[in-house]
Amino acid sequence: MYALSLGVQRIDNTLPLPVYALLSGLNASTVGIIALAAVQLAEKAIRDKLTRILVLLGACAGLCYNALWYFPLLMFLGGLTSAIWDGWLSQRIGKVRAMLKRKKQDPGSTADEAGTASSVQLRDIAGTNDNVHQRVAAAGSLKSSQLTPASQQPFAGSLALGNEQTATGDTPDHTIRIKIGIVISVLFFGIYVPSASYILTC
Amino acid sequence: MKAPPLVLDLFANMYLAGTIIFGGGPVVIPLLRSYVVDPGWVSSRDFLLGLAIIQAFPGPNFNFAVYLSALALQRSQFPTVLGAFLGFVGIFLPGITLAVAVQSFWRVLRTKKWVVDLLRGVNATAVGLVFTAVYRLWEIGYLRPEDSRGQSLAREPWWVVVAAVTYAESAWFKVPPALAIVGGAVLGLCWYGAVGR
Repeated sequence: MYALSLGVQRIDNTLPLPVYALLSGLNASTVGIIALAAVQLAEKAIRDKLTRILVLLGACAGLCYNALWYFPLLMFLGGLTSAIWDGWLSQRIGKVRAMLKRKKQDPGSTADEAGTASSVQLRDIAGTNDNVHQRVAAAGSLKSSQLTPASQQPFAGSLALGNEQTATGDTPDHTIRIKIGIVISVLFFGIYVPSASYILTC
Repeated sequence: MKAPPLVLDLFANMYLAGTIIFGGGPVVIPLLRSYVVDPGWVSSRDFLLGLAIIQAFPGPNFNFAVYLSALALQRSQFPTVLGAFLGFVGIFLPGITLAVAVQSFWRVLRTKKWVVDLLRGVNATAVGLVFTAVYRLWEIGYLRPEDSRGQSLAREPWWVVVAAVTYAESAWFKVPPALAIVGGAVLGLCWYGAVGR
C-alpha cells in the first residue's frame, strides 16, 4: 500500500480523459461492493427490532452530520440504548403490559393469573436466550432468583454448574492476568485524556 | 510550527479510528474518510483511488490507513515513510492492545448480560454508519477534469448501471470483489470509448 501511495503522489492534477472514465468506473463498482458489504453486515447485526432500529438510526444520524467525535458518540449511544433496553426497560414494559392485561380480565381467576405470569417469564427467558453467552448469564440470574420453570431447571442448572467449574478451574492464573489486563486498558484509555483536551483546546 | 501538530493529529486520528472500529472491514471506510479527507490532508480523488484498489486486492481494509497516512504527509517536510509507519501503528495498536487487555477478563465480562447487549448495540450502530459511507462515496464518485473533487455518480446513468451490476454479480453470481471492481473499470473505459469523447 505504501508503494501505491508513492505512485499516487506522482500523479498530476490533470489526467488524460480515459483515466477519468476508468476511475469513475472503479468508484462506481466500489460503491456497489460496499453497498453489498453494508447489506451483508446489516443482515448479521440485525437480530431483533431494536438492532434494526439502531442500524437505521445510525445510518440516518451519520448522514446528517459529520465530525471527529460524532461517530464514536453515535456508537456509544447505540450500545447504551441496547444495554438499557434489553437489560431493564423491555422487562419493565412486559411486566406493566401483563399487569394491564390482568386488570382487564376478571380479577377473580387465580389460575389464569398464574398462567400469564409464567408465560411472561418464559417470554423473558426466550428473549434473553439469543446465544450461549447470554444463556449462561440468564442461567446465573435464574439460579439466584429461584424462579425457574420446572421444564428449564435441569438445563439451566447444568449450564450454571459448568460455568462455575470453568471459573474455579483457572482462577489462580486469571487473577494475575486480569490485573495486567486492567493496567493495559487503563494506560490505553489514559492516552485519550490528553488528546481529548488537545482537541477541545484547538 | 505547523508540522509537528500534523504528525500528532494524524496519529491521533488513526488511533481513534483504530479504537472505534467494530465489525472491522467496511466500517473503517466512513471513519477514515472523515478523519483524513475532511481535514484536507488527502484529496478526495486519491482517497477514492486507494479505496478502489484496496477493495480489489486481498488483505485487510486496515492497510488503507497506511496508504492514506503516507499521502497525508506528502506536502510536509516529513518523509512519507513516517506517515505510513504512523498509520500502521495507529490503526493496529488499539485493536491489539484491547485484544490483549480484554482477553484477560473477557471470560468474566461475557457472562455479564449488559456487556453483550452493549456490544450488540454498538455493532448495529456501526453497521448503520457503513450505509452513510455508501452515500458519501456515491456523491463524490464521478470524476471529471473540470472538477477533481468529484460529483455524484447519479449525474451519469452509466455509473448507476455499473454500481448495480457490480452489486448483483458479487451478491448472487459469486464473482470475487477484485474481479467485479476491475470489471467496473473496464466498463468505465467502454463508456469513454462509446460516449465519453
